[in-house]
Amino acid sequence: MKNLYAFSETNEENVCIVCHGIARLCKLGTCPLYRDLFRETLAEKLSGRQLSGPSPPTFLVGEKGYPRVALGSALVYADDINPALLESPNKWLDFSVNELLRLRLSLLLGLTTTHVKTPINRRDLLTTLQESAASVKPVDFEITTAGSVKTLPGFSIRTAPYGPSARVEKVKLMGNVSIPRKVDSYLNDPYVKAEETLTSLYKAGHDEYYLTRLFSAGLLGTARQRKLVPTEWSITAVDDILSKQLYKQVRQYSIINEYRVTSYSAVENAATVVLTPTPWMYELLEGWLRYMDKPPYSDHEILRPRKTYAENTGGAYYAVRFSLLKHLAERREQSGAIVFFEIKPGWVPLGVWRFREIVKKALEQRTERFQSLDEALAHIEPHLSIPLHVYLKQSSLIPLLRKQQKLDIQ
Amino acid sequence: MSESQPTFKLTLPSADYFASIVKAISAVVDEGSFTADSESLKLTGMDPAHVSLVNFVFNREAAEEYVCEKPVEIKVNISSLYKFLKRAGNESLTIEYDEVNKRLTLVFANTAARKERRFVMSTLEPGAGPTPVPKLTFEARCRVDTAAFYEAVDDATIVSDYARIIIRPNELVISSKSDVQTHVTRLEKDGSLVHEISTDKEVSASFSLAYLEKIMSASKTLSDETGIELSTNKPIKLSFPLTGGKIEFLIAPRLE
Repeated sequence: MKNLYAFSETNEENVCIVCHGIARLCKLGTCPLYRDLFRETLAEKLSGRQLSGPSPPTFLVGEKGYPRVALGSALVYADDINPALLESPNKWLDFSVNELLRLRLSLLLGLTTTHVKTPINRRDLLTTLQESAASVKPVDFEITTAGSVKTLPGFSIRTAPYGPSARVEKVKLMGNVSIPRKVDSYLNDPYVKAEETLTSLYKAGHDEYYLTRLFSAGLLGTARQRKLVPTEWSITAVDDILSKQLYKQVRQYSIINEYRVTSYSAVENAATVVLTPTPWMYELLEGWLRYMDKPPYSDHEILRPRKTYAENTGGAYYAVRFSLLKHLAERREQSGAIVFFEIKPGWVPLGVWRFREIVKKALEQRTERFQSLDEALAHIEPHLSIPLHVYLKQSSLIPLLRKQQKLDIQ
Repeated sequence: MSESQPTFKLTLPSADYFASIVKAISAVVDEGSFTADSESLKLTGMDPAHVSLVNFVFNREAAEEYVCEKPVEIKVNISSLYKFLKRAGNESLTIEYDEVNKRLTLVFANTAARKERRFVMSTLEPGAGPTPVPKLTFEARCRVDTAAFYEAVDDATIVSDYARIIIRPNELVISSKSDVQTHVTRLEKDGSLVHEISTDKEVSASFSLAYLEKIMSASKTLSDETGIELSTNKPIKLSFPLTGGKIEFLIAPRLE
């Protein structure tokens, strides 16, 4: 199988500031970042094989061993946390990295293994998990574990982390799930393609995180299309599908008539967005302050959504593009966009959502307006942590904007 | 919806040839307006950034049947049109436009097998009419093997975002460079791949491969021969001879 991860995404592994790049060796009980959490609540709760608690809901599908994959849901085992918050990345920028870690590591993952296409012999378990995934409100679970609880936290490239995990034998939903009627009708329609369902539900106001969960749970598409999709792949697939729909709208809108610059920093990440008075074109320049010796990663597209995978910036490319096109579609405007995204040394891997949310937030900030690209770049230069000339060496769009002539002024 | 007589009708012996023309057009425009009159079917259009232009002309003499009662503009989504046309096999193609109902019908027929396939698509509201083609003069001209030229352009994409094209009296050179890599393809006048060079001096210009590669990739099956016209730091014209018509592209240069 082709490696679906971009060069920049390999940085997401091994960046834990506590255990210096060997995150997989840490334990909830010993890591200073979350051992207090473990002591407070976990030991007591995990003493028996029966566990119960609310779930945001979470639905995770692993990719290891594809097409036989691990999948599961998660319970919140800390008492003072609102479960819905744990799957709402659009609210996470208000927290520090440590607070976010504490939140996400309060999730105990209950896992089982199945084939992505055939819900094998434990169909009831899978159906229960799928049903919970479609809920728009937290659900209550009772699970029976099949062995001991592993206190190794789970970090991955695009997905937000989670806390301890256990193999589950039985999962019981306590109470009802809350599935909107429109969603329910799509889930029961085996003739509608996943792209169409995603577009329709997005227009109906369901956010990309909920849609990713439905997609990952194999609940969308025609009967033949339906299968479990590893969460990491689903995130980017949903970003790509929704972005292409937004692009079709945006390309019909009038082009802005100035360069616009906005920026926002949160959770050890900083985004600076330059909107350009051009038809749609987009470049992501991703600089890691921890690896200053490496050039920034970059990918771009000109006039149309790219057809090849963004192999340098990966999931981040699609997440940022989604936020840009969403912003333009809402404002009924068209522009190009160059995004400088800096990841500071204090970052720990919390998932690809932060690209999407930070750029969304940046676009809500006060806009500086300029008449030329060079004025806009001069304005952002002092705010970048990595020198502008380092980015310029990796950029394809900036030289194009500076040097490309047009036919109608010849 | 009532049936009405088609305002425009064109029959071609080869459906897949027309498919390759529409594919080439799609390298420049997403939506395009075909204009037809009693003499020819034409399309000109620029990309949204106004860097590239396509100019297609198809004369009525090349058609098996050509009917155009009055001048008409047929605006379509080019990729939707191509989606149908790429289904074409070894079949003839008839295109009918019903102006009253704004419908374009594509009929693929295999008369030997007595098989007919019919696709109908809605057309878009006509726009501002055809894009004017800039009047340009060129200092150098050459005709080159299409596969060899495309290979050189494709090679350039490995090294850089843009390529420099040089025409000298004795050779055509395509080159690209980045900080750490370079690429050069030389096609000499006396070789089998250059059919003609006409210039008395060296001319050169650079072009974004985002445009040049896309156009060449979509057009490489149109003709064995590519016409290149160039002046220093001015747009390039790439032309592909068609039976009974032409398709040509202009690309504005990058000034390095």
